[in-house]
Amino acid sequence: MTISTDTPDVAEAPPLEGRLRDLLAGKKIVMTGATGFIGEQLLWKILTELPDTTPAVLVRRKGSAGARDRVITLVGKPIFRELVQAAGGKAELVDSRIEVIEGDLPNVPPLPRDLDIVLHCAGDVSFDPPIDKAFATNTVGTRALMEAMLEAVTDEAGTLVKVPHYVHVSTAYTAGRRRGMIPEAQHVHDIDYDTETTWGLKLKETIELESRTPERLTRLRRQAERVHRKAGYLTTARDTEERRRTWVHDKLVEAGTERARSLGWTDCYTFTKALGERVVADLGRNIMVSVVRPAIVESSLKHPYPGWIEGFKMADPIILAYGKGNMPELPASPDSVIDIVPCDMVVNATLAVCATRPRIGEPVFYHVNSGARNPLTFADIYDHVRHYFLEHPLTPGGQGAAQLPTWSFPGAQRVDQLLNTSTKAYEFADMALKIAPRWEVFRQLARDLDKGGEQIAFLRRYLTIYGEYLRSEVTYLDDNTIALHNRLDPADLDAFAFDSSVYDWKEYLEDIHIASITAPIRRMEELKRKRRARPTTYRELTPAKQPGTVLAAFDLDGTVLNSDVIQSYLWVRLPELGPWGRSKAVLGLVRDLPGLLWTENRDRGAFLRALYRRYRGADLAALESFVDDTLTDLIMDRLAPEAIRRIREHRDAGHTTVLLTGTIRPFTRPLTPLFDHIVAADLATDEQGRCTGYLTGPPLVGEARPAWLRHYAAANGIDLAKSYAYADSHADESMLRAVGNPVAVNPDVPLMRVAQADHWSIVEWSSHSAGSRRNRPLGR
Amino acid sequence: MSRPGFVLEVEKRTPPLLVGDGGAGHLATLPLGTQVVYANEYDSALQDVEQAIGSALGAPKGTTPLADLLEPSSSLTVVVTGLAVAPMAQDIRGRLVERILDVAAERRVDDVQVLLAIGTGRRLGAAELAAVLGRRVVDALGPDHLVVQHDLADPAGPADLGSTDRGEPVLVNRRLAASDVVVTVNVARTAADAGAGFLAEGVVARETLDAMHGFSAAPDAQQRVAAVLADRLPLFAIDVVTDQQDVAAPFGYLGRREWEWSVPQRLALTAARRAGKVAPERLHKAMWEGMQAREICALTAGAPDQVAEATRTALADQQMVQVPGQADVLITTVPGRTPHNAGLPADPLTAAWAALAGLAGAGSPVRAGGAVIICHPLRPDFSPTEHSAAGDFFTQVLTRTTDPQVVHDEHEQRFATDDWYGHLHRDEHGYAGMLPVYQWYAISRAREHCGDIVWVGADRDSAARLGMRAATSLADALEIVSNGVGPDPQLTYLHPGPTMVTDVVGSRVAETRGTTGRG
Repeated sequence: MTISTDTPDVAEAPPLEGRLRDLLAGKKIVMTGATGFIGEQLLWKILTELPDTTPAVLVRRKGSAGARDRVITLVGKPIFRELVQAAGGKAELVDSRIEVIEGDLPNVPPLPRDLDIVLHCAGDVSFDPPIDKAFATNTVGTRALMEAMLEAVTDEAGTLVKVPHYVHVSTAYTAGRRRGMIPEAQHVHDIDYDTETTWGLKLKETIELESRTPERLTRLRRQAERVHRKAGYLTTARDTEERRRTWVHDKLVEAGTERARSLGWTDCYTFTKALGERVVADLGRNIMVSVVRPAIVESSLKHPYPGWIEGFKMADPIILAYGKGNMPELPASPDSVIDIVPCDMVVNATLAVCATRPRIGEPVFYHVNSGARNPLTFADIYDHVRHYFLEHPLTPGGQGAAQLPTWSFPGAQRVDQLLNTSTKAYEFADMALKIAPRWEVFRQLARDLDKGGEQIAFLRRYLTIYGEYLRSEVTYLDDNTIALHNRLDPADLDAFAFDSSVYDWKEYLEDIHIASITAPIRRMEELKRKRRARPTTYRELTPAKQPGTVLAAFDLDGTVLNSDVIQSYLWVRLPELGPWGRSKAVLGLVRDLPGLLWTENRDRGAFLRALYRRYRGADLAALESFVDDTLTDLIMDRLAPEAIRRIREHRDAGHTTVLLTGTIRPFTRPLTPLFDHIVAADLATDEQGRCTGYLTGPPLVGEARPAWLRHYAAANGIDLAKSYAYADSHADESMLRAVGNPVAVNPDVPLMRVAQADHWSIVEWSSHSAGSRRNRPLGR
Repeated sequence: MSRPGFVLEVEKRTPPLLVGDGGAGHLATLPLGTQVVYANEYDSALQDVEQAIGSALGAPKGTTPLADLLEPSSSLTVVVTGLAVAPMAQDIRGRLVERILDVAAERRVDDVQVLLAIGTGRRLGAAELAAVLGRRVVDALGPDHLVVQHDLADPAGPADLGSTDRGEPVLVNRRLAASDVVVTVNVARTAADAGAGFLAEGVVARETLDAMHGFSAAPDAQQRVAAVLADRLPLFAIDVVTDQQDVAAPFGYLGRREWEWSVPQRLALTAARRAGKVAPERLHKAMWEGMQAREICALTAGAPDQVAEATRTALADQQMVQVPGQADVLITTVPGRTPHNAGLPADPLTAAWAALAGLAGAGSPVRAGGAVIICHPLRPDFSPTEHSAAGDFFTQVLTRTTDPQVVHDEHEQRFATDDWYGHLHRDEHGYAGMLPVYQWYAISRAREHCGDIVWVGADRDSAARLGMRAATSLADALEIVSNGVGPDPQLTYLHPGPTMVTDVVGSRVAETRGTTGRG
């Protein structure tokens, strides 16, 4: 049971007598995928060029938008403007010309009994769908549609009252891993689509089950912990579940790809599409069936206007990446053909096919492509792309033209090696940066690294999906298509031409296609330049409508105060010891430092407890008066002026200011006038007022902070969505997430990444440069 | 006086001259024809300070000896200048206070307090108190809280001494009004400080400061307030005039004439410049807070008027330099140590105040509409404890307006009454919240008098925020100002070094405070 290389019989294209508008006049075309790329232009073409044809579109409800609403939105797109004007409004256009059927693909509703043609151009266009989805769309979905169609044209007695024409839009790549000339006919293989579908769908359950086994979950949790341990259990849990879902998805994709390859296809998309064609042949035994197989569909050559395209298609990410200078090399064979066809040719050919009347039970296949008669090799497209970008460079980030790499097509292996080396280097640098100190230089390094990482990920993904197509040695013959084209009425040639040999690649690529796909990028660049897009959670404060309904929470160490708990410990302990005791204390701390830091990296609470154990035996009252008399200056000098200003602005705006810190309370005493509420760790004492080395309660760190905030907000009528939080460490991610205006202050690299991803403001607050004690005359 | 200051006209053979730049200074060639004003090199000093103190207390001018003024039942307050004058080795203030306390002890006076006249300045830290007053005084009085630092907004309220003849209110520290004898220990640096002058700055309430430095302050208000204080308080004034060596000995090249520099002095400049690049704060501390011993040039005690008179004469001898006419373009520098930046390099507001505040008015060394060029980095670096209000003024007020009228109408109140500034000033070591506002009014008066004000080597944003301009080099600055003063202006350069007061020939005005203390 596998793919076969036998040559199949080719059914020739039937004749076409007359103009398409006449041939299709009075016909009702039920079509799927009208909201998609090809479907949209098909609908436009029908409405524009086939005035007496009624399109009936099968559209899925999406959220609260019903099918009709979605079609009304669809005809709001620019290409429909003239039609809408002529009809007197969007709703009028829909009501007068289009029949809307609300429904989904496997769950097809009853179709209108007066249908003449069913045009199926819906489908998942991703090359790497999860296996269950691929089958659900391409075999189950196609079968459901055809069954609904047959039911619509069958009377109660079970006899066909009318012979509809089913037109199936597939893809040229259903040929799979065959090589050489591919004729326009059913591919030969002996694979049973029902069996494949059943097992494919079952895999979903199996993989889902495996993702929930303790072994798998443990592994995923460990991965999540490596990144998020500092941020706390809930963040880790969220990430673990995210990872599990991704894992399930990846496994399903892998399962699809492997199954496809084991049977002779490159990927699950083309494999299930091929099986779909078989479904069509089987269910269409008693009706007229045509299958249109386009190759890579890119922007229009002529209609609705040159360069019309929706979103980015298969070749576009490479082209854009090259233009941005992000694609150092391509593992393609320079002489392989990249089979691109303009979208309007596919649309025209499809409608011409709709107008034919093939023989019942003899499906006719059409390849709509360029590779046979107007081949474009990778070497050619590289020249065109390079030439285009040399003439019209992109200027990412407003930093002048991007530097264009020179491709030498060194082959897949070299590129793979390059990717692997880069990946390793990236992973190593990433690991190093995660534990780097909170300096701007490291944040900048991390930003650069992230950019590189994204590039690597993009390349890797792209090459995994499309790698094989970059070295294809296959030609899709398009004799049926060109025969059909040649039978077009001369009057239809202007509107419905689909001869892919007539245009010049230089003109199509450089003047039309690349210009079209780079336009939105250029617009974005322009917009960015104008707006100087900045994340906006750090904004000018406006007075709270009601005082006390907004709070501003501040972390202490590293955010408001340029110090850390170890430093403050030394401030307190050192002066009271003699020189010998001092060196002993410092040495002891140095000895334990690696352990402490290790603990800090895993669990800040445990770290604080370990450090505070060292306060054992200290007199709390003495500690407090020592802070008041001696340390206040030191602490005050290390405050960041911007932090104080911000805190005071919050107070002026009527906000409640809160200090949340794991530091022991005496150190917060100098800050008392700035905050309405200070939450700090309290040292427990014995009867003589001596510290026991324990705390009276757990230190408020990590996820305890958002919990505290929520509780406090609920008790005091505070709106957290309008509130602010300021912190510097990844451990505070959850606290920042709890409020509407989070601000990362001098963040560590992991927090910076979170802040960038979520568009939080990142600010640099530094303490006064003369704030260090040794610069003070007389040690004031 | 040993060597008078003079005006050098730059000609072809003139070597590169020292230009102060907020750090160690650097050598630069000035345009031909520039008049470079060098300060006096004044080195006559009292040989025996102890004996001078003794005779000052024993034979004061215009009043009875201190011992005779004191009774066992008297309440005595000794008022001492705060950090407006940098602490020095064996600080003369401490020596004087110690002798006064000895006299009081001999007279069995029980009720003694030492009051530091800090005004808008910051409270002294424990170490600074010990340096200024001496360990013995601090140890004797400190534990009983008898060393007090003046509080601008004393919760107990000030004592009302009435008002000046122009209606300016005179409100002082309660303790002074309640004292039988007030002895002032003052190191006078400007003529305005002399006699009761420093009291008008140091021990009054905010209302009085407003009358002297506020938006609608009249000129010479300080003298009128000082006159009321001298009249209404039982003052026994002691004024000291020290030598001019504000900068520590290794940096003695400042103020010397370049062609006379010794090899060590040349090397010192190079070394200091290097050090300044690495650690500007350390360099500042080494230059300006060196705690070096100072010579005492004059020491006078007695009735405040007569003491002030003697002090002014001594200061004039020491500081006055004649310059021939007002300049079209004045090139000047910011002294490293001003009354408002004890222990820290000057922030942009203090720098602008120090350079400009004395330039307004008729006796200004620069003509009305003339340009001023100042070399200073204007680093926008404000200490969160000491200059918190100035930092906020710089970032929150000057970004919105530079108009003193708007500052007065919309922002002044906040700086006067803010709790945090109050807390920092009273409980920590912050300068008063009103200081930046007063500074800005003074700067604004100078801005009205002058045309273009250009900062060489300054942070561009800081200069722009002050409503002024920045230039990379002196040549560029001259290019910028040439629009306003023409292509061939008369340039005057006030050479850094000892304090000097310019005496523009024909319009002798001694109180040009901003031009004092160059460095």
